[in-house]
Amino acid sequence: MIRRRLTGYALVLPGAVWLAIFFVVPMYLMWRLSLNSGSVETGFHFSWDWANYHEAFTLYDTQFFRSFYYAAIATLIALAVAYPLAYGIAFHGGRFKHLLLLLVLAPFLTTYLIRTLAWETILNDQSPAVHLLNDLGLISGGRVLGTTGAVIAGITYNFLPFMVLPVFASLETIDRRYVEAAQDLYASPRTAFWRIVVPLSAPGIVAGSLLTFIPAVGDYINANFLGGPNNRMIGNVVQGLYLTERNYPMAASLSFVLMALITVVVTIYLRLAGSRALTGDDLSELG
Amino acid sequence: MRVGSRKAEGGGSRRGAALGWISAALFVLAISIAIGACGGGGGIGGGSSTEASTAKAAKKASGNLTISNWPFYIAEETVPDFEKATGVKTNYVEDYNSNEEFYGKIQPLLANGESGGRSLLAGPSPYIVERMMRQGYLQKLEESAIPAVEENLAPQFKNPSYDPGNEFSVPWQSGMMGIAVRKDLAPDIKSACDLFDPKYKGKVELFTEMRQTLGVIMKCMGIDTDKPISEEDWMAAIDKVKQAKEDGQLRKFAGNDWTSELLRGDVVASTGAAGDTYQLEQENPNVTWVMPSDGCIIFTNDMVIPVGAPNPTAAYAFMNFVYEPQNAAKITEFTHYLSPVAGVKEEIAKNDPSLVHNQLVFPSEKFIEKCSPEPVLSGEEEQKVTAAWNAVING
Repeated sequence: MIRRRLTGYALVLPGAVWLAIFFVVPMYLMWRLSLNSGSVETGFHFSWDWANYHEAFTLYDTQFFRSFYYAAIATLIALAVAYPLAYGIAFHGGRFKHLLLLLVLAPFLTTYLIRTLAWETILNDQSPAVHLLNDLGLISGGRVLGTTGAVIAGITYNFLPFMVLPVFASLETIDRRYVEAAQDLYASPRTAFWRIVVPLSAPGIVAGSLLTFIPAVGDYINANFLGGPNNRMIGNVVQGLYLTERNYPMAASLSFVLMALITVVVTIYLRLAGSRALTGDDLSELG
Repeated sequence: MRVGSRKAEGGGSRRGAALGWISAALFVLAISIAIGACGGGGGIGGGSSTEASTAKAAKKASGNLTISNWPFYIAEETVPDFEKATGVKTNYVEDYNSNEEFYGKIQPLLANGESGGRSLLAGPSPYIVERMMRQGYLQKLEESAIPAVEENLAPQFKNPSYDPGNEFSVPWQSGMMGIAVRKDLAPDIKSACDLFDPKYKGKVELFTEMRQTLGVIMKCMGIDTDKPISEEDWMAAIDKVKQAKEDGQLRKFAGNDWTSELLRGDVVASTGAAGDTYQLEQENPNVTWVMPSDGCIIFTNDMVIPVGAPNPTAAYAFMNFVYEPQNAAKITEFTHYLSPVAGVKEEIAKNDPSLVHNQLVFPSEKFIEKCSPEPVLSGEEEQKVTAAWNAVING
């Protein structure tokens, strides 16, 4: 028993040191930086300058709101697209299951940036795709690029596998006999789906939506290439503050506010959607 | 269940605690690294304002030379020719995307007395040169090391207000900032104010370079940019851009990434420099440069030697090389920018007489009579105006 406990600590140690050096220390530096005042010209000095935080809310509230709004919509669309897809592959994929999964992942062997730039080319104003959408009356103004829709679509596309994979993983482990048992007890296929399959795949849905939502809020690539000046997200603001304005304290404080807001949103979400679904406690009565 | 078993086994928990202490110690170590890195409350930045030293030239240039500049700002053969003539292995990097962005990238290095291996910067605008001089990030030039510059620098480019006597800087190229249009899609754009015509909603692009973009816009608003410009006038121009952004008039704020939309026709008009636009015209003949009816902004980019430059001798050799009229002429033929080198016109007349009469390359007095130099800002006003501009392009 003693050895077992020791082993436990020893196993945690590398991870703990890693986190301390590459997570806690950078966080501490960022936090310190966020309370600096001054400018590049005069030098930055640590001065408990909370004004950065105040300004983060007053100057960039629009971009914060926009980031959460875009990320939330993109997560919902990703779920709506990914669930039927994962369901189809898991339940009806047969011997092509792995091939189909590979096809979902194939585009993601290319880098993020190239994929987004490819969409910029596909969706340019002169492209047949955009002309078609325009003729069908699905878009107004004859363009897709530089609109809210383009940014949300880009985010959805780029984070889709993060939704598909966890949902697929949880659907695949479902014991089909539960569904059969439900149907034996006169549940219609629809009832069996909603009462058995969906609850059993809840851990995948929760994990997938977190994996999509969290990076999506901080994303700036999609807004940069697919959006216009009115679609900039908080990630773009932070990038601009760091690289062009060189207002490091403000950028650091915006990053902290973003982390805090994401933590709050995710906590509320887990409370509502059930952290029990995530840990699988819900299923113990079935298992 | 772990907690329960912990109580039962005292010895084990002691050894476990020992390991716990080790991790705690490592944690403390990590924190102290962090505090050390912070330099005890120092932080980032802060220019050293010591007396600038002079970049010393050795007898003969050799070794490697790294140069930073804007893209499409040099002739294809310039670097190979220079390597052939001097034997200096040259790494010519086109890593300028915007003045502020490049400065932001290199400033932390310069603050430590390093230049990231660069011996020559050819891209900065005057206000950045002035800022770098003030912060002690530049080395003085040794006059005797650049005889070709002394001989061939055209008089109107000598002694700029920010660097009297050209102690720190030598012009690279100069250019006219005006409007680049798709003449097939927006034939009636004549002045910068036409960029705000609702007819072109969502199809207009502006540069992030504040002084050049706002300079052109202020001219069409009837603000005299040759006199010192008041803060209200700057703000009025910024408000105009802000309004246009909110109305959806603008497609994007661009740096070097301004070309693709214009070539495709997603953007029909943009702020643009005559030289750049000439090069786009080679790709798509519908792209053309328009001299704004209210005049253009004439800008310059300077060659400077930053602190920590590993090979100033080679940098001097390059300056001399591009100030030889026959080499400068090649750059002009390729880029169509305004050359600061005297004798280029005569050199070009030998190979391509028609180019000599091109107003965009060798403008007559009359052609540029309404143009002004890039407007300047200083002190507190600069901070306020820059902050307001950043809020528009970054928000």
